[in-house]
Amino acid sequence: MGWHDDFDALLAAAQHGDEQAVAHLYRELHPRLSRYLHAREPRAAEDLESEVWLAVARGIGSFSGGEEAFRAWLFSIARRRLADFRRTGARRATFPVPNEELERSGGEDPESIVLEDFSASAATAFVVATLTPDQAEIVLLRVIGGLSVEEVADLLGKRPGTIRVMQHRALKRLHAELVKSGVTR
Amino acid sequence: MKHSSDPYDDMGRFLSAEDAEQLLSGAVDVDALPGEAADLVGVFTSMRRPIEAPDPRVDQAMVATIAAEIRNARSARPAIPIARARGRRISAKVAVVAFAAVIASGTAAAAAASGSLPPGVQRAVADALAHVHISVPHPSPSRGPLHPVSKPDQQPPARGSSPERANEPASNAGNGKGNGASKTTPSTPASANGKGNGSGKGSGASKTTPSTPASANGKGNGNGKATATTIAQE
Repeated sequence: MGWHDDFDALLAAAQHGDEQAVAHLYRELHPRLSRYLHAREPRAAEDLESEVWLAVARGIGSFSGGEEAFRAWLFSIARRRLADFRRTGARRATFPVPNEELERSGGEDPESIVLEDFSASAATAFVVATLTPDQAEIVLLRVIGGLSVEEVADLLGKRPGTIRVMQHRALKRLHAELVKSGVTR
Repeated sequence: MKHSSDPYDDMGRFLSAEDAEQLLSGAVDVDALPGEAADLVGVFTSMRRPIEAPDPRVDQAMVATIAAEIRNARSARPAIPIARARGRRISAKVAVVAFAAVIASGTAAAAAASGSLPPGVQRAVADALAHVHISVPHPSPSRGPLHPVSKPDQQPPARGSSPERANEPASNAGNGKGNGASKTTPSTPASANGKGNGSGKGSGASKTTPSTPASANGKGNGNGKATATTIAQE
C-alpha cells in the first residue's frame, strides 16, 4: 500500500493498530519530523520524536482528514512538545556541549552548503543561524515539514498573507547571506 | 532602474511570489528560476536530505510500539469512556437524590423532633416512628387554629376584630404563639385578640381594648404576637 495511493485506507488500517500501515506512516513522516526536531532542539530531538509518535498513537483514533492534514497534525503535536520541552527545560539543568560541537554548529561555510551539497543538518543550521526565529520556523515547516502556507499559518496562528510576506523576507535574507559570502552557482 | 548595493533590496526584483512558493514547496524547476535564486535551491535541497541513515531495528521497534499503543488506546476507548459516562450520569442522579433525601430527611427529622410539622404530618410521623421506638411528639392540641381543638364558637368573639378575620385560620395569620396564648388564657381579651387577629398584627387590639393589658401592649407596640406572648407568660 503506497502512501499516496489511498491515504484513507492507510489511515483506517493504522487506526486499528495495523503494524504495516503504521510503518508506512512512520517511514513517510519520521524523516521530516526528525529533521525538524533536530533543527529546533538537537540534543532532545530523539526524546521528542518518541513523545510525538506516542501522542500520535493516542490520538490517531479520533483523527480524520487527508494526507496533508495528517502531516500538519503531526507537526502541530511536534511544536507543542517542543514548547513543553522548552518551558520545562528552562527549569532543567543545561546540556553540556562538547567544544567541537560548538565550533561546528552554526559555523558552516555557506559555500560548502551550496556547492558541495552539504549535509541536511549543516544546511538547516545555516538557515536557523541566518534567519529570525519566526522566519526560521516558517522555512523549516515549509521545507522540512512540507506544509503549505495555509497550514503553517494555521499552526502559527497567523494569516496566510503574513506567512507569505515573512517567508519572502526569509528568502531575501538567506540569499543576501549567500551573496555576502560570494556563493553563487 | 537603479540597482541597490543592498542585497536584501536586490532580492525583491527577481523573486516573485510564485518563485518563492516553488522554492519552499520543493516543486521547483531550477531552469525556470532566476539564476540568483538557484543558490537557495541548493540550501533547501540539502535541508530535505535525511540527517542520518535510519536504523531499521530502531524503526521497527518504534513502529511496533506505536502500533501497540494505538491498539491499547483503541481497546480502552469504547469501553472506558462509555462506562465512565454512564457511571457519571448515574452517579450524578444518585448524588442528587441522596442529597435531596439528606436535606429533606434532616429538615423533616428536625421539624418532627421539634414537633413543628403540620399536625397531620406530625401525627403520621409520630405514629410511624413509634413503631421503631423513636419518640417524636404528637401534634399538640395547643396548635388548635391549624386543627382547632375547641370550636370557634366556644371562644369569646374578638373585640374589634371583624368576623371575617376572626374566622380566618390562624395558619394564614401565621402566629402560633398567639394561639398558644389563647389556649392558656382563653377568656382574656388578649387571647381573643390572639385568636381573632391571629396575625399578630395587633390592629384590632390596639383599636378596641385600650384599657386591657393586652390591648395596651397591642397599642404600645402594635404587635399582637408580643402581646399574646406576654399574656401567656403572665
